[in-house]
Amino acid sequence: MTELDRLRAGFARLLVPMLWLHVPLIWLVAEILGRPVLPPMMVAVVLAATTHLAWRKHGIAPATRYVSAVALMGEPALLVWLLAGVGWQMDMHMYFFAALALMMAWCDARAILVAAFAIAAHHLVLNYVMPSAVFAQGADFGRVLLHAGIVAFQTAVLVWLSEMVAGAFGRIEAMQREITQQNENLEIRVEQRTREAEQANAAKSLFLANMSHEIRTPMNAILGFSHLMLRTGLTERQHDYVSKIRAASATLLNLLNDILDFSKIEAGKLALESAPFDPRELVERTMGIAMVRAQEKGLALRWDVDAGLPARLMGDELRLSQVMLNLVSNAVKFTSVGEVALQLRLRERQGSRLVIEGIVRDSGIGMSAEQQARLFESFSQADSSTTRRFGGTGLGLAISRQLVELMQGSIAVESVQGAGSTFTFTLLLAEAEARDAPRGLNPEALRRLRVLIVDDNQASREILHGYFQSWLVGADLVASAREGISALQAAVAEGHPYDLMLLDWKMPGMDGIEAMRAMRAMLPEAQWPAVFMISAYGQDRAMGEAEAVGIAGFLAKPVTASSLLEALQRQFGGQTPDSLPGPKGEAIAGPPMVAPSRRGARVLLVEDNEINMELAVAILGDGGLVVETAENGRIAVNRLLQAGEVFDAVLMDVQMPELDGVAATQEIRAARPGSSLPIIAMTAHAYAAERQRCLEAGMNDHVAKPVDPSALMRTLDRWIRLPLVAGPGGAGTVAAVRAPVVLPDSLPPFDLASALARVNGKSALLHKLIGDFGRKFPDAIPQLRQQAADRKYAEARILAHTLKGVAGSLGLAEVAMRAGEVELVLTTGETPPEALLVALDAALQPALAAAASLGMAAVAAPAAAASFDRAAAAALAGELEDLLARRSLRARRVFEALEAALQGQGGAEIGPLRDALGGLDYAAATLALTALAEKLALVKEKTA
Amino acid sequence: MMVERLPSGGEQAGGRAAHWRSLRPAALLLVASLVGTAALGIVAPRPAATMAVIGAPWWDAPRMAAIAIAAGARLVDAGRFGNVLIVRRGEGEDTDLAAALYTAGAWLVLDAPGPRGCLAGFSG
Repeated sequence: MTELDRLRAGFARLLVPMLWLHVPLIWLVAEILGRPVLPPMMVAVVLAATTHLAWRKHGIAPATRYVSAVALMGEPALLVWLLAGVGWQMDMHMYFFAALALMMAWCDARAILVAAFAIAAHHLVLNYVMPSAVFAQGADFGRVLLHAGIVAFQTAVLVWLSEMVAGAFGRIEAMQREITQQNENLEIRVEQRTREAEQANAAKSLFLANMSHEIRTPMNAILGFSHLMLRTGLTERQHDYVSKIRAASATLLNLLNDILDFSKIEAGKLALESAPFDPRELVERTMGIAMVRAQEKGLALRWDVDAGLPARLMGDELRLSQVMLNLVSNAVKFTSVGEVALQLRLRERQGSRLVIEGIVRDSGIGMSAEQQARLFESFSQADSSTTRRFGGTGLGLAISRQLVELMQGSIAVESVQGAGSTFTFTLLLAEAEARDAPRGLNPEALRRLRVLIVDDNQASREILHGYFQSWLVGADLVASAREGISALQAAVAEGHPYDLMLLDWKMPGMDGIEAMRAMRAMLPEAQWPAVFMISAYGQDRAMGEAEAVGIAGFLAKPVTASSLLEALQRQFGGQTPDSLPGPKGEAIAGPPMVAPSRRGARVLLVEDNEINMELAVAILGDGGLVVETAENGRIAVNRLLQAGEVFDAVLMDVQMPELDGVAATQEIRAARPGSSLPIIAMTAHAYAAERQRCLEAGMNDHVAKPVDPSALMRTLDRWIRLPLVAGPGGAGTVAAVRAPVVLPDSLPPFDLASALARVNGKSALLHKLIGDFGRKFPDAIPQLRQQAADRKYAEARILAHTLKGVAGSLGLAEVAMRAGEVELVLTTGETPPEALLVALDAALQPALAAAASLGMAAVAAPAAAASFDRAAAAALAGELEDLLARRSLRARRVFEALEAALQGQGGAEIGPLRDALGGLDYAAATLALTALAEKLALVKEKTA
Repeated sequence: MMVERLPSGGEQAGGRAAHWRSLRPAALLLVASLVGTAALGIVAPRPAATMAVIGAPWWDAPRMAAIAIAAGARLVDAGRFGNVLIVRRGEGEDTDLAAALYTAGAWLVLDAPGPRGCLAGFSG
C-alpha cells in the first residue's frame, strides 16, 4: 500500500462514521423545527449507507470516493432544505464549503469535481429549477451565479492543492520504489559477490589442498625412508646426513603446515595448543635449524637461555619455535658479517603466569624508521628491493606478530640502518611441572668420566661445560690446543687420564687435527682419550680429516645437549647401555608394531605411488602385519569383491588412477553393506574436508601422510578386529619373525661384549650378523681347499679376507687370526699349507656351531615347539612363489617370514634361495624355492 | 481493498470507460438525494406552510383563484403558469388548508418549494 492509499484509507475510516452521525443530527434538526423526522432521516440513512457499502465493496477506489463526495454534499443540502424559512438557513450554507474542503483528503481532483457538481445540482434543482417552476417571478440568477463562482473558486484551489499533494505523494512513492529497487539490486549484487567470493575461496582451499597433497607425497617418501634408513647400520657420517635430511624434511613439513595455517590466522581461527615443553630444547632445536644457513654465510650464531627460566613451560611449542625460527632466520638472512644472537629470559612472574621475553639481535643491514613501521604487515618487507635481494614472501613477520599476540604478547623492533636490528617479543606462558629430569639421572659410569674441553671460544666452552655440569660430569676447560695437550699429559702423569676430549677443529695456532696428531705422538695409545671433534665450518672437510686421524665422534656446531648426549651414548654406550635417553631411542627400541594379538593380520595396501608403497610395505611389515598390495582402487575392489579375498584391514590412498579411494570405498561398502572390514584412508590431504569426504564414503579412519609409523600402528590396533582372518596360525608365524631378539649373555667362541660395542650395542643387529655368519661360512674350508687346488688364489684370498673381517667384527679373534694367516699365504700366490687350513677349520667349527645354536634358540623360544608350522610355511611358500613370479621386492620380506616359520629346518636349500633373493635373481630364487618346497613337502601341503 | 491504478499507454481507453463506470453509483446517488430531498416538502405540507395549489393544465388563473377562495385561503402569489397558485391560510386560522383546497377541487397541493436555500429571504 502506498502512502497516498494509506491516507485515503484513513480518511474513509473517518468519513463513513461521520456520515452515519448525520442521521441523528438530521433527526434532531427536524425535531426542533417541528418537521416530520422520518423522511429526512431516511435520506440521511441512504447517503451514509451507500457510502458505507461502496467503501466495503470497493475500498478507497474512485467509485467510493465519488459516492462519498455526493453523499457528503447531500448532507448540507438536506440541512439547508430542512431549515427553509429559518434564519439560520443562510448560515448552513457554510457547511457546503466545509464539506467540499473535506473532499481534499481524498487527494483526488475528480472527487472534488464530483462534489462541486453535486453542490451545483442541489442548488440548481432544489433552489432554482423547482422554485422557478412554481413561482412566477423565478429566482435571482445573478445571485446563483455569485454563489456558483465562490464554489468554483474553492473547487479550483482544492483541485490544484489536491494535484500537488497527489504529485508529492507520487514522487515520494517513486523515490521509495527507486530506493527499494536499488536496495534489491544491491542485495542481488552483494549476494552475487558473496557467491563469487565463496567460489573463489573454495577454489583457493582446493588449490591449497591439492598443493598440500602434491608436496606431502614426496615429503612422505623423504621422511619415511629417512626413518627407515636410520634404522639400518650407518656410518657416523651417514647417520648425520640422514638425520639432517629427516630434520630438514620435518621442518619443511612444519613450514608447509604453517603456510596452510596462515589462512586460519587471518580468519582468527587458529587455536594454540597447550602442552608442556622444554624451552632449552626448543631453543637448541630452533638454532640447530638456523645454523645451517648461518654456517653457509660464515656467521656466528649464539644463544642464551636465562637460568631463571623454568625447565618446563606450558604452551604451544611449535608456534613459539616458528616465531623464534622466523626471527633468527630473518636475522641471518639480512646479516652478512658478524653474529646473530637469541636470548630467552624470564621478564616477570604474574601469579602463575610467566612473562617470557625473547630478544634476537643481529649486526645486519638494519632498517629505517619507515621500514620498521610497516614491517609487521602481511606481504611486506622493508622495501621491494629487499624482496629482490633476499627473497621471501614477507609473511613471516606478520605471522610472528599474530602468533605472539595470540600468546598474549607483543613484538617490537629497534633498528639503526647499517648497524643491525633487535627484535623483542614477549609471551605469556604458564609454568609446567618439571618432568623427571633424564639428565639428572646419569649413571655412575657417566659421572666418573673425566672430560677435557678444548675450545678457543669462551661462549662455546661455557655452553659445553654447562651441559656436563647439568649431568654431574666434571669437565676441565682450556682455551687452546697446546693447553689441551699439556692438560692431557699432566692428567696421565697424575694417573688420572681423561676419558673424553671435546676438541674444537678451528683454533688459532694449533688446530684440532694437529692437536690430535700431537696427542697421538706424545701419549701412549692406552692413554688416548676418546675425542669428539667440534666444528662450525666446512663440516664435510672437517669430517674427512677428523676420521683420518681417528676421532671417536664428530659434533657439529651448534652442539646441542641432545646431540652431545647421543654421542656420549654411542661412545660409552657399552658401559651405560640403557640408562641414557636419546633421540635415537626409537631406533634402539625397534620399529613400532601393532599389538601382539594383531600381529600377522592381513592388510591390503592400496597405493599407486611405488615409493610410498614400498615404504608403507616396509613399515607395515616391520609392524608385524602381512601386507598385500593393490596399485589402484579398481584392483583393490576386484581383489575384495570378485576374488573374494579376506583382509583384516584396508589402507586406502585417496588419489589414484582408474578408481580413487573414495569411489573404491563406496563400491566396497555398496557391495558389502554389512561388512565390518575397516578401511582406513592414507592420504596426503591434510584438510578436514578431505577427511570428512573419506568418512562419508564409508572409511573408518584417516591417517595423514607423511605416515607416522607409531600413529599408523595405533590406528590399526584400534580398527583390526579379532579374531584375525588368517587365524592364530598366521599371526603366530609372523609374530615369530618379529619376536624380540634375545642374545645370550655369552656365546663362546664369540666375544659378544666387543662385538656389541662394534655394532653400537644393537643386539638385534649382532644377532642377525652372527646368524648370517653361520649361514655364509659353513663351507668355507672346503671352498678354500677347492679354490687353492684350482689355483683360483684371488677368489680364495677374497674368501679368506672376508672371513677374517667378519670374524674380527664378531669377536672371533682366533678365526680372524687364522683366516689372516691363510690370506697372507694366498696373497703370495701359494697354496696355503694344510696345517693352516686345519687350524682355521678347528677355530671355525665351534663358531659355526654356536651360530647355529643361536639361530635355533631364537626361533625356538617363541614357537616353543620342535617342529615348524607346516601349513603356515606352505602358505608363505605359495605367497613367495607368487611374488617371485611378479618380481616383487616384497619377496625378501616374505622369505624372512618363511625362514622363521621353518625354524631352522630349511636345511641346505634355504641358502641358495637367500642368495638368489639377495642378488635379485628371481629365476634362480624360483628354482631354489621349488627345491626347498619339494624337500620339505611344502608343495604337497599347499595343494592339499 | 481496491487500489487505484494510474492509467498508462494502451490502458487509457479502458481506463476512461472504467472511470465513467465508477462515476455511475455517484450519479445515481445524486439523483436519489435530489429526488428525496425535493420530495420532503412535496409530500406533506405543514398546515401553516405556504402552499402551491396546482390544477388541471388547462385551468386558468380565475378558476384557480375561485378554488382558493372557496377553501378560505389567502392568495400569496401567482404561479409560474395559469394552473398554479401560491396560497396560505390566514393569520390565526386553524383550518386544514390543504384538505380544504383539495375539497375545493385542487388537483395537487404542495409545500411551496422555495424560495429557499441561497434565495431565502429574497422573495419570501
